Amino acid sequence: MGLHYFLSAPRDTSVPSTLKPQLLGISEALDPALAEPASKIQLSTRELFFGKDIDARFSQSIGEGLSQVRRLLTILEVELLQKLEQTDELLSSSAVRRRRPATARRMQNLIRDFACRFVRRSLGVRYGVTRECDMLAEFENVISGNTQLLHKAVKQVEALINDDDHFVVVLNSTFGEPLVPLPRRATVRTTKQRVRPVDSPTTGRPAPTVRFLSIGGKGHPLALTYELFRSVRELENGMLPASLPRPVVALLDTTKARLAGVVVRDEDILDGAEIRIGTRETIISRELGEFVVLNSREVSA
Amino acid sequence: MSMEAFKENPWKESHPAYEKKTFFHIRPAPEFATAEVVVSSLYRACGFETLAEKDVPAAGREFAKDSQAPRIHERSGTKIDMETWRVVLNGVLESPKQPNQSSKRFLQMCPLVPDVALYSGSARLAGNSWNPGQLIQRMIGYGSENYQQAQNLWQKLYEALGISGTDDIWARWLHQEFGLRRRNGAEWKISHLPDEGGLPLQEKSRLNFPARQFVRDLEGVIQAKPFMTRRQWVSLLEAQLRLGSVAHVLWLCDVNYQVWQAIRRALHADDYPSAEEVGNRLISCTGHYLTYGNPAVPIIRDYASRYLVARIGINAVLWQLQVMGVEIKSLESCEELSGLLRKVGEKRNQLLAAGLEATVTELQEGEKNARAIACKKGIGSNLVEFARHVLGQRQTANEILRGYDQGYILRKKAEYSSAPWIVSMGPVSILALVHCCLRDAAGPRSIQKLCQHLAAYGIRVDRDNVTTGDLGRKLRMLGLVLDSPDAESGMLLVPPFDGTLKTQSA
Repeated sequence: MGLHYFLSAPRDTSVPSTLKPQLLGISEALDPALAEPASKIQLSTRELFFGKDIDARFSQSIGEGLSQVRRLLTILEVELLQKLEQTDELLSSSAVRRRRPATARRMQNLIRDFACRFVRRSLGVRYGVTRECDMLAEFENVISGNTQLLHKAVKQVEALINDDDHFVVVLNSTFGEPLVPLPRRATVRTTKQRVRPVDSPTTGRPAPTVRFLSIGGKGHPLALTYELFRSVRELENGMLPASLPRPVVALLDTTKARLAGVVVRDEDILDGAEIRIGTRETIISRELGEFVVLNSREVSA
Repeated sequence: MSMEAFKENPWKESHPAYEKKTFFHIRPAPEFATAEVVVSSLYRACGFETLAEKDVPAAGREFAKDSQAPRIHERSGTKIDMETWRVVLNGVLESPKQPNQSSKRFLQMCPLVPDVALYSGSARLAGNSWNPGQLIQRMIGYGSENYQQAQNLWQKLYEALGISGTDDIWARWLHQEFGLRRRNGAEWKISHLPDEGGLPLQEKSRLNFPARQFVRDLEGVIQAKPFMTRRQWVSLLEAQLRLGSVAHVLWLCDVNYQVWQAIRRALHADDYPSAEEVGNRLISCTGHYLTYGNPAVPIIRDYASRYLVARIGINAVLWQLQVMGVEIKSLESCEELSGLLRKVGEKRNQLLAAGLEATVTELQEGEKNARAIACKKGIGSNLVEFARHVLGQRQTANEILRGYDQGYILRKKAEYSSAPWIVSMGPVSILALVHCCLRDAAGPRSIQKLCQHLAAYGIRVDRDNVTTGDLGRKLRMLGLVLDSPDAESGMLLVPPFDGTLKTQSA
């Protein structure tokens, strides 16, 4: 019953409503229970892997798992796990199994899962193992000034903002509107908008905790958030841009929309820019402050 | 005109003082319009004064015909081929048709540049249309401190609606192309703003009503123009006009009702409020008309119905007083309104003896006007149609274009066709609102300020539910809030177009 109360008791009564989603976000990013199976803890004599040494063993039985990690836990934790181990054994006994097999199996799964998470969290917190801890370490390096990593991330963001070698603005869509079908779209293609890291002054103040990127040298700088950084790294590892998480897509869209307002008015950027209408081959180009009509076939020839 | 004629048709024969010399008479009478119709009509009211609303559909038909005639195309001197121009008109600029318009062939374009308003965007496709642009004109007059301020804003609006050298490249190109094809001699020239201040200046300054907030916000939207593309700005302006115009009409409905209630109190008890009390109790917008997240149409219908009841009542009293030899010349201030209430009180016995109550009851509850008062036909039905179509998200015949309208205030609660319309703002309206809300402020502002801003338009938002509700979700999605756990569930607003604040302070 104690376990049941512990798992079902409401614990968020005192958490303010704005704090709740943030805490959820942090727990998702840092919870050792969600760490990858390949995560490991370096002990003095051996390496302990989350996957094969904890998950696999606890899924067989709590006793099996406990034998692996007994020395690494506190007395209180061991005591709790021992009690759970007894329950686990009892649930495996034929007397219980025969009477209510489905319930017994479900119950056993629950306590094994609980024990596994419990150990993962306890060890993860103590040894600093979290989900994506490698990525987090890299992100910390970028923030503290590793120029090589920062340069790599900047190039990737630049590729996301621009379309090949051009910056494209859709002229007939507004905020929040899904992209209109190609035959109804009017776009302007200008020169590529460069992304550069912004050097924030550090003299006389603590080092900044967020790096900012300037886009096109104008407008609002873009914050290199952890989510953006992670997406950039995942893209590097072969993820498709269509799979980018929603907040990152929203961030990039907002940045593009902000930049679009500047781009469509700046004669310097617009010189040589091309307006394309739907799927037509006609191109309206801006040259020396005048509109010139060209044909895309002629241009490519 | 007389009492008899009024009894015969109470909607047609309003008392001359009510018709022409009242600040709370709804003029022009709103009918069906969409948000784009309001914007197009505003273009015409602002710069194409010579073009009447009823001439627009014919001009549109002719323009569409011309766009298919090779000879006319060549004569215009354009460098672009005819097929591409047709794609511009019928594809890129086309504003999606509503499900009931899908079979009709007419030109309906997004009002990106002034010239578009010459050919599309009238409330009706045939016959006389009402003029929503005039409603906005009157709102600017009502909301401004004085005529000079109204004129300055009108000038700024004219300049912003026009296309200058610093405008969006797409708008400049469209302006040039439409200019080559302009035929009906229309010229983009600022029109005269009539001096219709509504209330006297000294009374206006201590009252709160939606038009006052609208005027401040309109200036904010104009200021934000350089920070976005033309289409984005036009949709931002459209969102502001939607909220402002409907709030203004609902406020007028409510004022009518409050005035009628005050007259009834004066008829039955010695309750004559002073001019100041009239302002605070009857005129100022203290309550709210709509509630965020709740169905809107039944409430709008209720306001419209109450307005009709009040209109009959007020007119009956005015006509009856005239019969008794008391001439009411105008009701253009709280002072005059207070005077009317006093006179009603003084003549109470005569008015009651003349059977005023029976007349009013017969007109309000009789069979003849029942359908009109229930908003099934006539003025009431038009008012509901106006509010619902201006605020509601555009329903499109073409399923692919259903995301076209993002500046809505009402949306369908669910997918099914008879789903109720609930108050839920679209991304563009939220951006416009947050921008205008922060424009007034020098420092950071919390979510409470946004709630107050919405309350100025008569929309109530429960502050405690913002964080978890639809509004909070959209604000977060648009990156317009910073959650601040230190401030015990405080949410700070982030200016969407950061350059505008700098311009203001510079």
